[in-house]
Amino acid sequence: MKIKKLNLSGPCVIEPKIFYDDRGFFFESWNKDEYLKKKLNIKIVQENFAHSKKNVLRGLHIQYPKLQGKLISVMNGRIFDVVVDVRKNSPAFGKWCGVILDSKKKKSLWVPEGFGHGYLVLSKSADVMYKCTCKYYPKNQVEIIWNDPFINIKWPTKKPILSQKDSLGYELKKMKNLPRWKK
Amino acid sequence: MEKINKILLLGQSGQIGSHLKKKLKTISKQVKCLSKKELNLEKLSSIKKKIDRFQPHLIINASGFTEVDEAEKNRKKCFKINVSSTKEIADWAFENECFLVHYSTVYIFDGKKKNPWREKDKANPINYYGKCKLEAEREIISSKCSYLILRLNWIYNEKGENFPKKIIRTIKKKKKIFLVNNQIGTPNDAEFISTTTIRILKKIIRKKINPKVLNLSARGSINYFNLAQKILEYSQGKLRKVELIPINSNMYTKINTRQKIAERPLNSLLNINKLEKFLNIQMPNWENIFIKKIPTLIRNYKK
Repeated sequence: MKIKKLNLSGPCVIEPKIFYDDRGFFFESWNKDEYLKKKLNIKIVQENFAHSKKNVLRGLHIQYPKLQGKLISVMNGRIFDVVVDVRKNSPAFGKWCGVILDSKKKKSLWVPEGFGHGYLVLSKSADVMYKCTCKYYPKNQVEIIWNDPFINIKWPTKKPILSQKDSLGYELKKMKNLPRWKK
Repeated sequence: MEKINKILLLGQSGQIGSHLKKKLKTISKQVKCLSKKELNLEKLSSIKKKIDRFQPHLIINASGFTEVDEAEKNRKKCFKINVSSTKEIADWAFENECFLVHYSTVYIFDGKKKNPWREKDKANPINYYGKCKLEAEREIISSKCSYLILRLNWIYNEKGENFPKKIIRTIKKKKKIFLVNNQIGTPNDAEFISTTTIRILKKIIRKKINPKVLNLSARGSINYFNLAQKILEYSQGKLRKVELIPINSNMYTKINTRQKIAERPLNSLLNINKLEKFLNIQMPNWENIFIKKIPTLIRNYKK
């Protein structure tokens, strides 16, 4: 298992070691101790599965005030996965980073607490599985608008398919209730 | 939506509510209307209790603070009526598995797009009224209740204050009238809005599918200056000839120093593809409806 840093401090990409043979393949998709060894202390309490069509954009989401870290994996298909630092007073406030996750390389993206997350489906459809460090609190769900001019994410589409809720997301600069950055 | 037995209408005396009141009987025999006196939307703590007494299966919220310029001055009141009370109603609807129909506006957009606004375009209100209406939509969606949000643009009615009437009043008073020519929209008759609302509701009940957010408008587009010209044209000599002077919205704000005027979107057109597809009919052009209404608009003004 390899950990790859991103140009944002906090989030990272996890590359598993995959064992192929004539039957198929095998890999460890989650191992608490192995992660700890790499200084990733992730406590999982819930896991979710989402199937989406091509060009669907889910995001950008945060949970506040009950913060949620997420470990994103793609079971089928290919996505453009984005993480944004939305912590108040963070030196990287509003900075984003995008990675391609697919079912071939089976990389995972770690989205720490205090980071916004969203993804766009690039393949015909995609199945995304994500593990969470905090359970789902519907009333704590906050949407940041996907095309926020301040964050300025370079999405590979101009007209994604959105939920009504996501289409009414807030602009980051107009949001008052945001996670705090701690040194 | 399951079978509808009891309907609660809020805003029965408003432009749209007054028409809905008559037409809702075609959906259910049990229609309850609460007037402003019976349900004061500024008394937030009483809202849920009052709705509780009737236990509706469907709430139509046609009430609200609709004076766009007034909203800039009276922010607290606007927020309370348009956002906080909506949250109370939506929460009640969620807790009691009730369906909520709510009217919203094109003013949640900034108007800086060339084409008509689609349901999922990025919202970016430029006045306080629009900000509140957007916040209300968010409250409804995050309440997790079953909802239908209908977005409207330029509404006129025989009753109540609205743009064609304002023009008629000014025509009677002044010789020269300055009118904005760079803001476009679709004038929509309140009765047309209420008839179409009923149509949408019937379809939702029959087909058990919910479009959730729909733009509701007739077809066509016009600016305020041209609309005033049309009014004079259709008045058939019942209004005296006056000089209409086109100006842009910036100039208009400058010459109206007496009153604080809220900024309005330049483009208030709504894309109605989703609506026409859902109802499987073509919407009429606004002008065909307007021609029929103009005599009443002029006559009613005299009173």
